[in-house]
Amino acid sequence: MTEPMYELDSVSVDLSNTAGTRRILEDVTMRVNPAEVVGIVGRSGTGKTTLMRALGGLTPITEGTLTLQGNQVNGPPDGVVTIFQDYGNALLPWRTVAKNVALPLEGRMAKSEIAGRVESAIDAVQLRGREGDYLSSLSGGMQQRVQIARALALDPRVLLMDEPFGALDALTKASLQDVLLQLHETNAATIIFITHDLEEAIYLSDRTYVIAGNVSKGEPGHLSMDVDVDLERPRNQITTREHPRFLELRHRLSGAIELVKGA
Amino acid sequence: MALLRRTNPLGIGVILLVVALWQLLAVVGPFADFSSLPSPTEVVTGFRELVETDSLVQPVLHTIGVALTATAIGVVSGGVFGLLLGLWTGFRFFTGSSFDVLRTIPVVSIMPVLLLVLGAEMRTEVIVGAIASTWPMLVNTTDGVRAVHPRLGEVGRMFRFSRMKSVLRLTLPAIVPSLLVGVRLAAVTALIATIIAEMIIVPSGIGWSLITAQNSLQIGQEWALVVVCGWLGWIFNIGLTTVVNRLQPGQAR
Repeated sequence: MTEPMYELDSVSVDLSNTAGTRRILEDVTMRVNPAEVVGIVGRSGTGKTTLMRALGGLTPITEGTLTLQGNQVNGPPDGVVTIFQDYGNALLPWRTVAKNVALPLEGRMAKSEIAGRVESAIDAVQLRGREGDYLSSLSGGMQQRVQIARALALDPRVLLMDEPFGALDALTKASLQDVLLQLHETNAATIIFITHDLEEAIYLSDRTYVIAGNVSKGEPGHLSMDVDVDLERPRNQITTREHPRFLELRHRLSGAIELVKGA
Repeated sequence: MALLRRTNPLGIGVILLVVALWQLLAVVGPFADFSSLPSPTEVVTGFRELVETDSLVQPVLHTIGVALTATAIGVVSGGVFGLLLGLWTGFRFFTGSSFDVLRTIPVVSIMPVLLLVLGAEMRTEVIVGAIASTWPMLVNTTDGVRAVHPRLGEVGRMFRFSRMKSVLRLTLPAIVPSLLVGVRLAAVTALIATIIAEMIIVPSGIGWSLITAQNSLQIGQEWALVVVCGWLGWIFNIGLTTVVNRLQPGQAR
């Protein structure tokens, strides 16, 4: 068996604010293999984002163990990049597209190498021709692509995506999903993403976890089921989504989510 | 052509109308009885007298020079302390309330003290202007830093930037708009403080010219100086707004 990329063993996370300390996630155990695409679905307030932040080393875990390729995660690990949902806050409006993409590389390598990497990252997300533009002249979908390009430029081991396409319209979403699938084929990074959209989870992932709970009512988030998505790759928007297996998986997942709702 | 397109004929019309009305009221009445309220033509005459006696350009240049020097000092000190307050929790904890108290002292009230301590010299004038312009810069810098979205700090952590690199590449560029607002307010505040200082501390510049005109009952000249002060403020503002807009790439305008 290959060495796992991420290994979580009974991970719990507590968060404190002025109102006190609250348990957000409880007893999360999962294993993510290298180059795997893992989807995490669940309703709002189940601690999905907290799980993602813990994986990215942005929020410390309270109990259990969380390792990345055998190393304990405490603080953001090298080669792990989060794609935030709020691209507007995560990008730098005073920089052009190309300069935004170059940000993580600055000071790490020679200028010429940066230029090459920036160019191929921008190509990968199909933003060629917009390198010199500022973000304010780009649509939301394009800005999110800039954030993805910025992550790709680092050639990361792991891409963590917190509802990356949540704020986008259906057509843009579909085209970015395909951009992501293509990237995964060429880069072989491990991808873990959160989504509200069951079909998106199935379409993109090798495995999808359902996370349940209701943090505000004192029930911490926990993994309630996981589904192996055995649809063959490469996938495409029409045939994959019409495949009987796709529909079957969707039924199982929405059943699980409904069950969670009833509980 | 660009100038023509940018002018607002109605706005200018209103100004002309007010001046005409003022002229009418000053000549025909009821303002005609107030000797200290001259007509626009008297103000123009006063302006010409000032130019002819060589007592306009030098004071104006003096005031501008002092105000700009004071602005430069105030921007640096306000910027540095503002950054310290915004970025460094420890510094804010120990000094934040002191700054809040100092900031509320009107600079005019310490002018007599400074006069005694530092003497009636141009240096004192610059220091007064610098103190006055430090505060708007400080407040805007601190608020700018504290208003930076936490996500930006996480981006720095995620890319494993050092604290220094995070400040230089993320925080400072992000607060450029607040810094520029601070500079603008600092310059205008410095100008005001300088003119007052020239009236009560150092007999020089346009502030002292105003006092002289008042004491010698040169009402036309006095009003001409008031108009010049207005122009100065206006030019400061326009000049700085232009600079500010150039220094903010990527802003949707």
